[in-house]
Amino acid sequence: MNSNHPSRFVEPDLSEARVTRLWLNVADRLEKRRPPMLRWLAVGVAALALAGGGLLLTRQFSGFGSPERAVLAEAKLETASDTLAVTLGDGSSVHLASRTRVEVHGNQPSSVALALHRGELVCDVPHREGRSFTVTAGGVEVRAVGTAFAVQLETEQVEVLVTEGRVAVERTSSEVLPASSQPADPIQAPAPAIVDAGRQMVVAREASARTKGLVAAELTASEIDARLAWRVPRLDFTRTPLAEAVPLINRHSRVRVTLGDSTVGSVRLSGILQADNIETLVRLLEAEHGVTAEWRGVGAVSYTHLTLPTNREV
Amino acid sequence: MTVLSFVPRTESMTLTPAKQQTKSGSGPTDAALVVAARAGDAWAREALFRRYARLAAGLAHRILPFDSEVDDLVQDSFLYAFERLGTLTNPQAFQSWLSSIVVRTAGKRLRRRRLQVRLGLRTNQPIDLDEVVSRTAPPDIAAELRAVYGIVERLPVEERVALILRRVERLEISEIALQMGLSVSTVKRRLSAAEARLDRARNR
Repeated sequence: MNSNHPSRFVEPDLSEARVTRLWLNVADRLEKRRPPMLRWLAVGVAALALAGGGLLLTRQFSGFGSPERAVLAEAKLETASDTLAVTLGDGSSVHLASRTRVEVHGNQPSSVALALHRGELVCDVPHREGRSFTVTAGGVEVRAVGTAFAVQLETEQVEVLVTEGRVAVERTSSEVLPASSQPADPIQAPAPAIVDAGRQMVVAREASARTKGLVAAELTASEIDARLAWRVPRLDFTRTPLAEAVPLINRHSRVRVTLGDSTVGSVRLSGILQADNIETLVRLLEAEHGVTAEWRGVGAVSYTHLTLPTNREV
Repeated sequence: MTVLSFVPRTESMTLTPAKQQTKSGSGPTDAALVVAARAGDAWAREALFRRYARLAAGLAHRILPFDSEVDDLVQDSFLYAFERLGTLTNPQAFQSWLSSIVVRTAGKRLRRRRLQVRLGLRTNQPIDLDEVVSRTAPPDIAAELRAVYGIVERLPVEERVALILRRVERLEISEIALQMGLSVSTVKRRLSAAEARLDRARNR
């Protein structure tokens, strides 16, 4: 549009928060206008999704990130400052970091092909016999069978980080190179290289290093968490009762928070919480509101049970 | 190490995960989103809303430059659109279809406001020209906008909408006719009458 177009000088002040509020109102009114049968169907689908989400929490990556959306057969996905989680035709899920561009080719139950043109993505690929799942980035092809892995495309290299299962990595346009600065104790891998869970492969993109082999290096759990910290969403609260905040927190955290009674549920939160940062939240509740936290570990998921002393006023 | 932060703050904000719900850049086409929304995908409706909320709000604000009206107008327009997506014959034309819904919904709200004023249920709220026209507007454009918004409250609804679509949105007459659901000749008559009043106001 012309920079002197008159409409440019009669614009409302429309913040992102106002757009979100408008959308929530529209979504709410749409929901209320649905026929009763559809509403019950939606409740059923939501219940199934929650049940599925509960199972997925045992996997290393799942349960984090934005609500997933289905993707059409051929699509171009691009993020700016936000992240995006999508579900593919074979049931796999892909989470795009900010400033990422991906093309989806052949999004079918038997075959998925993604081309990463910029940024980073994380793929969670359930095992399925006979299905092919590939990600190409900067002349590197990553093939998955049943696994979870991240691919990051940088100017000089492609990084493949595997968190579950294993993937095969090979160059499609030229040979691959080891990283110039490897972490300690690198392990030489055959070509095409198999990268196991907990390892990262850095593949140089320049053709001059094509005579060298592929190298995979081991990462610690905290290094993997740090590398993928962008996947953890932030939650905004403004005088939000704990009873309303806890379901949101539990949706994104491996630590399940339970409330002792309605008194502790009425404690109000204000602030921005990184969704996996339950320890800090609990410490703040203990310090500011006298909440007592009881930690219980159950398998891969731990619980914290919050209560207030009986004579405590909120 | 995982980044931990909890930053207490007091200003009001929405209770939604930050920056999670939008897809930006060259995502699915409008047609793909419309098809998915018709199939009942809530994410597609949200994507359409976020893609066009600013366009709808801008258009609504220029026709009815009062903040409270703009919010209602945007919500009513999208509700109408989502409930009638099945009637959109060309899914790629969502943007112009939505614009026409905003224009017609704004016309209805203007008529209702005027009726409420006549019945004494509402006081006539003048347009604050300093509030509506940006201070960054070049002098000639600011003068044109101030002249238009200085008279629109006195114009019949169809003349008002047609004048704004012509002088502010800079639409062709055929486009105005499509947006308003009127014939080209009717739009010409409405514009002719509105511009005559505009000239008289300027010459005063």
